[in-house]
Amino acid sequence: MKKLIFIIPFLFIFIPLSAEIKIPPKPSESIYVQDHAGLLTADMINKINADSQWLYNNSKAQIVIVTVNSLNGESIEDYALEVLRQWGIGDKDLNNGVLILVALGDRESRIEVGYGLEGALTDAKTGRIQDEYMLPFFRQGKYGQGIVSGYNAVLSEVLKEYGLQYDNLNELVRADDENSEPGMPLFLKIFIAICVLLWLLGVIHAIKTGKRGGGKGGHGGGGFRGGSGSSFRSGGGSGRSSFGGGSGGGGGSSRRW
Amino acid sequence: MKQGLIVLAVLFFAVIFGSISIYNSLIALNENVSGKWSQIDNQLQRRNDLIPNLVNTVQGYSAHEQKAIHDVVVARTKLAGASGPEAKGVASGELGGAIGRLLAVVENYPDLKADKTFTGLMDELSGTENRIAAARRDYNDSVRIFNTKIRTFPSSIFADMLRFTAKEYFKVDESVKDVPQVSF
Repeated sequence: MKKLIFIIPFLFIFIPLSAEIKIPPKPSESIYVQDHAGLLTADMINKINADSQWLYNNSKAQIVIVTVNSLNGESIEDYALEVLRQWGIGDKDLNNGVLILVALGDRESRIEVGYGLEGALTDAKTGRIQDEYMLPFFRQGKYGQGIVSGYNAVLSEVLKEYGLQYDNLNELVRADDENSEPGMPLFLKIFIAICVLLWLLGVIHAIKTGKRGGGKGGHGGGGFRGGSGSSFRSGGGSGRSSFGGGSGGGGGSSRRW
Repeated sequence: MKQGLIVLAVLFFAVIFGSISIYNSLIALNENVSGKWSQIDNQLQRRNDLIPNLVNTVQGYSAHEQKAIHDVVVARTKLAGASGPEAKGVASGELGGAIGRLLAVVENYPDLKADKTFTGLMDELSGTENRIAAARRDYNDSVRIFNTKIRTFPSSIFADMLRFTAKEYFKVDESVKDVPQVSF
């Protein structure tokens, strides 16, 4: 019996050992965006990689986005901390890493903040960023947009913290602004409708007269721009990038939608 | 004869250097445990400071949730009176549970949930709770390493000399512990 009592604390200690949490492998390419759930376009990924690389070059801070389909039954808090620590996001001494984690299947998101940025990104602030910039988009199914606008909000806070001026910073878009788009003035809708109608008539006319749609040929090419080679275009020449070995203690906040 | 002397000298130095390195590693591990403990202590303090704010805000909205509020206040006082990692761990778990129940009550007050200040406070609280959990894991890991080290030979000799004794774990009864989780 005595022996059993002695063992109990050890059982307790061993069970929650974090090593058992299954997280995606530490990436060596496109380290700032790991889109396992496939929510982002190639353009979005390139832009975020470029922005984060610029930030790293100027402050050693690292902002990383990870999307997954499932947390494998882990709590999003444990999962996010494990990724931040295992990958070592942020500088080793400054611990200035931020992880934006979106778990599509679990409908949960979290902004995990390393020790060094807990002052700039308080728990309340990370919660507000998700409430205002991410969740409204997520609820409409616009995951990519939500992630990008949340990322920009985080980035602008970190830039502020380091007193940095970044010229390529995207304008912050709140979901409410976005909502006003469908409500465009009636005359504009009618105008567009007329234009479309005229264009259609033109096309029909062209087909009838045998000049089959020669006008527009260059449609297919657009999507591939920057697909692989130009990922680190504005990387400031430092070629390869890697994580700095930063750590955190569970700062940040989580949301469900 | 000469060879014997050399062997003796080598042995002598090996023992000296071995002792120094064991001694140093013991000191370092001991410091590590203290450092990890202060992380927990910081977060406990932080949560302690947030509670009056939480209580006031909830009271302003819902005067008849006295029971849940009372539980939090009592648990907070209990934690303040607890000493040593083990007792603090238990009291901290109870406080976490009381806060969780209070926050569950809050679910019935949409006005309060929509309040931005309150949302921020909630984030700070659950963030602190989460930090305590992380700090607890780190601390317990460091204690396990330390306790193993001072019990195993040959470092146990030095541990005795330094009067190092086994450290307490920071335990939280998992049944009490439910992290406040509010969905918005």
